[in-house]
Amino acid sequence: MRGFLERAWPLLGLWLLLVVVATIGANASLVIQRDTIEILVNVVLVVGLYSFVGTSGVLSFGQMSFMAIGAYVGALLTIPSVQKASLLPDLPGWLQAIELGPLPGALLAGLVTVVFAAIIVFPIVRLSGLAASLVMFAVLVIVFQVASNWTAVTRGSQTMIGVPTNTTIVTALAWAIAVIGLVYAYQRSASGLRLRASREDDFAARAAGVSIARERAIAFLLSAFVTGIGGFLYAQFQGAFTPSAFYLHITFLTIAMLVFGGQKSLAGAVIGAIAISILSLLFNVAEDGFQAGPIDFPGRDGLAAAGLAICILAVLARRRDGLMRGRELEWPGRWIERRRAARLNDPETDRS
Amino acid sequence: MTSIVQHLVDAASLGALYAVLAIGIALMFGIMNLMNLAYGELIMIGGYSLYALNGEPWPLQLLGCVVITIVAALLMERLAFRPFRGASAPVLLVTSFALSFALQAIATVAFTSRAKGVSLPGFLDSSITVGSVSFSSLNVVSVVAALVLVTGLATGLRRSMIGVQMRAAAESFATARLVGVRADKVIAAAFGISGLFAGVAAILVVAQSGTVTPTIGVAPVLVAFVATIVGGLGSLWGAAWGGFGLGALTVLLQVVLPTELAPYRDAFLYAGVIFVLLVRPQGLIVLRARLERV
Amino acid sequence: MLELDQITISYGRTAVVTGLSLTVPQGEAVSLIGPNGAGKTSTLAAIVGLRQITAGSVRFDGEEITGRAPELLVRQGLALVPERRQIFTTLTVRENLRLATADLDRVAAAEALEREMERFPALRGRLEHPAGGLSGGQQQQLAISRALMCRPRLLLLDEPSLGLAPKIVDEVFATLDQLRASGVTILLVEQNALRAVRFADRAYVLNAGRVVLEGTSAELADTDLLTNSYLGVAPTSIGGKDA
Repeated sequence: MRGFLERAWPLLGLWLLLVVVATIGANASLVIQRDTIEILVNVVLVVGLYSFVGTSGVLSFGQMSFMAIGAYVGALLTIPSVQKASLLPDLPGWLQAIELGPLPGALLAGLVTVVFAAIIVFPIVRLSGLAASLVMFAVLVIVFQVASNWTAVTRGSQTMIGVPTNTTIVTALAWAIAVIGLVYAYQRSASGLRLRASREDDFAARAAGVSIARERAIAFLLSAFVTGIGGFLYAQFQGAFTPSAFYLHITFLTIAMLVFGGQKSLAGAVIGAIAISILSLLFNVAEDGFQAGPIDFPGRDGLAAAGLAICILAVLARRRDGLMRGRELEWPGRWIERRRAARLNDPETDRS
Repeated sequence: MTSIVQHLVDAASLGALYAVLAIGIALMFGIMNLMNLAYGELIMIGGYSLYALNGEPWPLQLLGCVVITIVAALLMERLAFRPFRGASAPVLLVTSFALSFALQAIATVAFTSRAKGVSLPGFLDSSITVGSVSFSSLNVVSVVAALVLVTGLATGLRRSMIGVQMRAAAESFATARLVGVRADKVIAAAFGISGLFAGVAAILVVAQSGTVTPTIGVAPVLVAFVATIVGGLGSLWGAAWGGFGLGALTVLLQVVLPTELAPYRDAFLYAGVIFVLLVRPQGLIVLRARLERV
Repeated sequence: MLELDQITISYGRTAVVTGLSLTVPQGEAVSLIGPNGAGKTSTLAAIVGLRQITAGSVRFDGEEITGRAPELLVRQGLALVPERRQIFTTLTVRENLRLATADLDRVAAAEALEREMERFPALRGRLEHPAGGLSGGQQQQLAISRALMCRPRLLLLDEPSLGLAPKIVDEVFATLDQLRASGVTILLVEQNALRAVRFADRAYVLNAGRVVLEGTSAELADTDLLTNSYLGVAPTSIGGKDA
């Protein structure tokens, strides 16, 4: 039993953490309930980001373009047909008629996002380093521009409204648990392990085999799927959004969450997302006495933003590889053993 | 014919501005591996100092802007980036982002997010007519300023002791230290020069709209970021050419795109960026010593 | 002149050097040899402050210098010629040398330059050439000159014979002999064990981060002993230090 717990803890621990967060949130005020959903949606987004950026080591600035696609496709698929007719009169008939529930809607939105990612994946995974980062950033800009101008499908820069608000604490928690399980399974698969090995020494890995591009492609598509679902959840949480919700702010925010938690581990992604989300909500509360719901917190009142930024800087200064230092959650008994051994300064038993 | 000249002038002046922006960022990247997103906030600080010096005689206003920006850059290095020296590129990036965020927030608290009007000297804003072509004096000033800064920098890097040290540090920071180059001095010099470029860029950017907001630096820093990578990392001249090219291309697209597609101008621009990077991932100009192992 | 006292160097959670102690007496030449990956380069890097020392101390002239920045150590008379030369390829030969003279006034800098031109005439004709165009041997000369510009009292060298033809290696060691004769203390890291042992007064053999053998060059002239220490064959005798 203990052996099983030790092995499964990296995953179970995260699940447990999310359940705890969700439970606390669900039993608090209405406003905090909304905040809890926000935290859980952020977790999904950052896990999506991690599944490519964290595993491959390629710092992509464009993963939130997948969030945009997931949100817009989700909106198109789930807004009641009657409303769609007046909101988006120029939609083709078959699209007008579709009206899906949240589960098929999420899956289909995720799927469409994967298809989009598949179109651009091959050139991208052959690039390395900042070239790939920049190409993904260019993709983000292009998606933003298209979303802002393709009025027939996206209402352009006007707010997309009328999305059914089906994302509750339970559904957000369920999806968060599901995607964490999915990404955990992936990172322990042969493909995932190969990719993570290449992360440490790109050059050596490339010298060893051309298939690094293939492994990255898999991670890229997985990331698109999860981030797309995150976008869908966001859309069905807010009920309304504009293209700027998926642009610079959320991009850097999610990257900050990932780096803060430690970009090399899934636990880092989850804990980073939870920690920064809670911190930012706390700062907002402390500042003006009433809570604000939206994910991005532009200078409505600069103090909260400044406070959060300084917090991030302070932690990063002391722990450059993030809170989790690139490690997964460890069964507490094992962790205690290891710390004890390390304190005896015996390098042989300080394994991990 | 006249409109072609007009467009060329626009292209040259926007290109000049982007080149100045790109060099500012490329300097810090070449020496310290730091992609400094907070560079945009140096421009913002420059803009607000112009606002604060509204009404003063123009030499004081402009010089004050540049001096304040340089000081801000040096403070930024000393207070915000020194604790992170030697950190990996993603950490530095997130740090610079957090800093950028914090500075914008502070500016919002201090000045609100509403645009503040800045009155600049007439020679930045007047109309010049040559034959049948008329353009703004700002175009001329931009190009002249860029040329002065670029040649000044090139000369400084070549001739002065600190210039040699900076070039050595850009090639290998650790080895430069082994030879006695003081890390602190070189880094401060890089930030100081970046501050100078940012101060001048601030004047040019503010002159375009006549106002300053907390987010005034966001668009320029993205441009600089893209230009540096497209131009070739580690190469200052690559960054300059990258910036110039981006500026020229932006104007070209503006002119060439049919009206229905005009709002998609940036999409086309970035599609062009993608194309360049796919064809030449190391950027347009490759500095032998800094070839990223692909 | 230089004392390392039980130093440990770690990379993350792995220790690359453990419990290393060595002494370089003034005016002598000491070699640090050992197989690839033994930790020799890390040791030199740690002495000059480019790598963190997690335990133990380094003393130079009796003064504790553990972790001190390399640019400060240069001013105290401690210079390193790094592995693979690492000259600045985009700078000219003159600029490479000039870098080291930031603290000297113009006259002193010119004298230092002239002195190095005397030592390596091949560099004189190439002062304005980009250093990247020099041959391997010339680059090594440039690297050594660069370190000597400020007249260090202790010179550290990391594998100066790496990648060079045997004849050039002879020249390099001849230069090192001259330097030792003129009073410069030397700590030499070398792959070429026999060369290193013959050159130095004393040698330490490093294997997997620990000193496994130390002795004078006379003692270590026994090649079997040397080979065994490289291969990690235990036990070692004469002055050997087991882990």
